Amino acid sequence: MIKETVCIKEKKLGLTVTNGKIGAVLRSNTQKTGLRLYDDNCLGIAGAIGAYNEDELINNAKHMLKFKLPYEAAPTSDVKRSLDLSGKMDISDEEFVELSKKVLDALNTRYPQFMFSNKINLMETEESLINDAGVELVQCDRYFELVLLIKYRESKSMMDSIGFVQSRVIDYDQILKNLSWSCDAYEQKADFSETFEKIPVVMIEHQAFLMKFLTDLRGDVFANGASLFSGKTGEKLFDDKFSLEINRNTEKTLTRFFDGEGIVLPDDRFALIENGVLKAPYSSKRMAKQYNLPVTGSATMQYDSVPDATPYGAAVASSEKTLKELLGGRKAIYALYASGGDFTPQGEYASPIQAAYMFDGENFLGRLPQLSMSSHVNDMFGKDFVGASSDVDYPGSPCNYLVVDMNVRKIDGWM
Amino acid sequence: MKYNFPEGLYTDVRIEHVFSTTIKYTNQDLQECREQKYSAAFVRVYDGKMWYYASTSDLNGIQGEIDALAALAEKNPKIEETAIYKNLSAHKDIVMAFVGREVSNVPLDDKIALLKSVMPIVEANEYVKLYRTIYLDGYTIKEFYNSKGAELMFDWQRTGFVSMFTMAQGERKMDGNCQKAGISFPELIGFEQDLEKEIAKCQEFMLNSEPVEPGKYSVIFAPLVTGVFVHECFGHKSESDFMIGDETTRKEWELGKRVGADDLTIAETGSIIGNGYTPYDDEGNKATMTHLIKNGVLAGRLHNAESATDLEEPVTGNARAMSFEYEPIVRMTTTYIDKGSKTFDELISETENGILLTSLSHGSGMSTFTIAPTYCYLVKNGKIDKPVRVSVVTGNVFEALGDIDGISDKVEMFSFVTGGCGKMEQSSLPVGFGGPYIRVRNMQVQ
Repeated sequence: MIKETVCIKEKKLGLTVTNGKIGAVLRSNTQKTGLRLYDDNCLGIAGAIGAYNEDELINNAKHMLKFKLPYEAAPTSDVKRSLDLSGKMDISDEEFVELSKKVLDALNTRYPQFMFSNKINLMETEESLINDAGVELVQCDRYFELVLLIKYRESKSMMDSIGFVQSRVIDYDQILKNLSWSCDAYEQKADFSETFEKIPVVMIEHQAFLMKFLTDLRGDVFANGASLFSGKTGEKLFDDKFSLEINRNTEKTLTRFFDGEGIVLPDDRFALIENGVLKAPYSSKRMAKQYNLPVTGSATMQYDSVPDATPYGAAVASSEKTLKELLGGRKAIYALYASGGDFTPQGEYASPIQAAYMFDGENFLGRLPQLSMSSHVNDMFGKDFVGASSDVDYPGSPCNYLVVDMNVRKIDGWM
Repeated sequence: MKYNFPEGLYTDVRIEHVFSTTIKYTNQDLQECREQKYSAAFVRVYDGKMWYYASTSDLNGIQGEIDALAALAEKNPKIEETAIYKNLSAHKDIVMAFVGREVSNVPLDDKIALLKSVMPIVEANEYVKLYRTIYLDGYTIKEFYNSKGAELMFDWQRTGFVSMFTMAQGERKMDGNCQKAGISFPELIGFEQDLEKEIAKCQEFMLNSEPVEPGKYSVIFAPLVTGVFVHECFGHKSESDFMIGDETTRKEWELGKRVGADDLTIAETGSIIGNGYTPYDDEGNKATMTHLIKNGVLAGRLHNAESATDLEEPVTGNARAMSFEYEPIVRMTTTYIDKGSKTFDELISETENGILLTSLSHGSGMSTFTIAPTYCYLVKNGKIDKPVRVSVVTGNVFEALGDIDGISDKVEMFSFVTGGCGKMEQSSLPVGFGGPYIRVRNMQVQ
């Protein structure tokens, strides 16, 4: 029997922003511990929040072993690595609150016609996976995340734009710059014809476009013939420029370098799609064993759950080109907020764009009305794929720019 | 008094004792089998200017958390005169609605056996390539205490299971699911016929559906979709924390303004047993029945103490937190459109060129709301014509209510087994929803 302990400690300083001011301060400090017992190709897990008695957890995990949950992959063994990134953000809690107030004061002064609300959080985490088979993996981290909803005071909408920054680097001027782009351009209405056949759409939040891969490249979906991509391993399905990878490089992302089964990827990456060729679906180690798939370091790490496959860390590989170079002088639609769309099971995609700006590669040229975009997954990452930029939206941010030519049309008036 | 609450401040403590079960199968392989039990608390202190929050899993340390937050706050001798203080209650009550039928007392073996009993039905279909069968339950006892003297204890429970399956034939794919939610375990028995019907519908849709011609249509929503539509299109707009300090939105949504036809009534309440059941909210205020729209006219909004103070309206019992790690914010409980006068057949027969939307995978709502459907059917010349594939249906929040031109005469209420409502970082919160069939003009379909 092998014992494995997963521990997730999280310390959070959360600031609630209401109407441009900090209205509440949250301080939380939680520890979640999961104890896994591997025995006879089965797994039993017990978890606790806060202080715990290890004997009690062991007994609970032994009880769960009676339900014979199959786990035929051997637990990871003999890998030790510890990474402490928490020193990269050298700011005290008090200084962080003061900096947040300074950002909000500057925004309120510069943009009295806008209201700012939502959250600014300072996160400190320690995640570890340790087992009897010689695994000791620990990562400590500290970063901040700012998500401000921006509303034009005269607008009837609930929100008109969004400001998002997540990084281990605090840069006051750059935070203000990121939040200012859409405010500066908001009152300028951009020219827009009713319909565009294939215009570049710039997305900073990639998940909406990648949704089809997240569902259909899951190992068991793929292996059971239920995926749009089933049976197509090794085939060139997409554009040469398109590579999709699991990226656990902590220098470039805010991910953890190991997954929930203790897998540390060689060079911290695994290519699912490389230069348009489908290489493999993503899998947990357990799923990989069951379906004879490659191990991609894609197991969940919830403290008291069986590790399952997750696309955590999936990202489009960056090109050598900056956003400006990718656009090459073409005007584009910068989709600041596009939510609620979806792919059909056959791969057709459509989504509204709730907050969009006309963009020249460097500057917002003006606000656009409510738009709708559509395409097909084969086109989006095939003939219409422009690229993923080498530059990011903020120092130390994991967010680069994804550019795809889409069909875009106006669906509504101005808010 | 259970705790020593500091003078000159408002303080409350919410304690949650949580039990939950998760069992998941992929095909016939057991993927997850988990029982979770914990107790934890959230503490709030208010000094008249700012709120101070802490969450803790150490119930013996709650007094320490109160004292630490009090040290951050400024004592305010006039705290009792502040408007927010006045909007917080001092109820004393015990409401244990689920005692004697707690899911925590149902053996795990019985829950596993229930899942296994429906698997052969899915397995028998020749097109099913992959299926998942999931059981989820939760039983929570909440305690609430505040410095005004509130002492509350109440419970909440849900249980349910879902069968999700993917069918494929060549390049044709289709995802279907069938779920059953309840508030006690015995309610889940007898699922087989619903599942068989859903599998047949999924198969028919996969084999015969065609891409929709994008454009504007009159869309007829089935009751399940109506429930999500009202939640996304209007419910979020009724959450008044968005209106704090916002004169434009207040004017736009001024009570008394006509926004729909005479037969449109939308109600919201935490008193209905189901996912949205909230006898007292997470700041101790009692559930109310709030008419958001009555006979086509804006009639009310959803509040916590802070938004009720800012808008000078009564609290409604809608302050809810996702878990002990979060503060209560304004959230929906159970939201529904009330019945109208038409039959379903009348709604269809009156429609020349429309879409019947019978189920969905998700929805969202801001200025533009979205519904990503599962099953859609073209309606032509008053008859249901053929299945069509639709990525997303969108509409303008400001116009959609006025575009409802038909409401059927029977209301159905729902709770989802998986998923829930998301609002910024607090996702997903269980809610209830429902309504009749409704027909909405001018929906963008693509």
